[in-house]
Amino acid sequence: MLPRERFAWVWMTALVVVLGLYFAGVTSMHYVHPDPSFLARIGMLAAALGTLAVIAIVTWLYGRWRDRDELAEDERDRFIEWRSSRIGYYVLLAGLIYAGMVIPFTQQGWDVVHAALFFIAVAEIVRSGIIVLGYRRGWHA
Amino acid sequence: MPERHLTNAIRALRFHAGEMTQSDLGQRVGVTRQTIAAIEAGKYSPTLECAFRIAEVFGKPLDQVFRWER
Repeated sequence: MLPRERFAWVWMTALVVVLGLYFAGVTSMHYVHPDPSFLARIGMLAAALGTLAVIAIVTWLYGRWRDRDELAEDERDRFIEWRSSRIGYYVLLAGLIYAGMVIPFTQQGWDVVHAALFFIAVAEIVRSGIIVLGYRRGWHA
Repeated sequence: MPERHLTNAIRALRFHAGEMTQSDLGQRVGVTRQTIAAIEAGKYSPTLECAFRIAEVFGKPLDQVFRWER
């Protein structure tokens, strides 16, 4: 497996698991403490984003060490990256339009933050999924 | 319009070039071994430049390496 494909697998799984746990935690916290403190909320968010950052850095460093002979990017890598980023961008755009221009009319504060975070995660999951598909199934220009 | 797909003779040409490895071919063309494997398997259509470089390595015209078939 190519290092870029491996990174996409890990990143996609990490996003699903970590942000899945985060949103589950936020939802359950809402039932226990209907109005949690700002510190509790920001602490949970920082823990989730920090975990994602650590996973990304460790995976990237491990990939650099393990696949030091295969790090050179070629035209296929660039094509897969371009295609995945393009589709991911449209997902992100649609999600952030909804989170920033529709949700604020009915919700406010953390709900808007969570909606934006959710759509960023969806866009990244889609992008990583397309990278995996590009390497696994193959695609033609 | 009937669907057409790109096929290639890279595997056979590598065999006739003294079992040249995918890695060797990749190095000479400037792509990774995995990309050569993907091209051989028909999972990736190379750029025109890459296709010409592959044909040049084997000393063949482009249409003897790649074919566009129905």
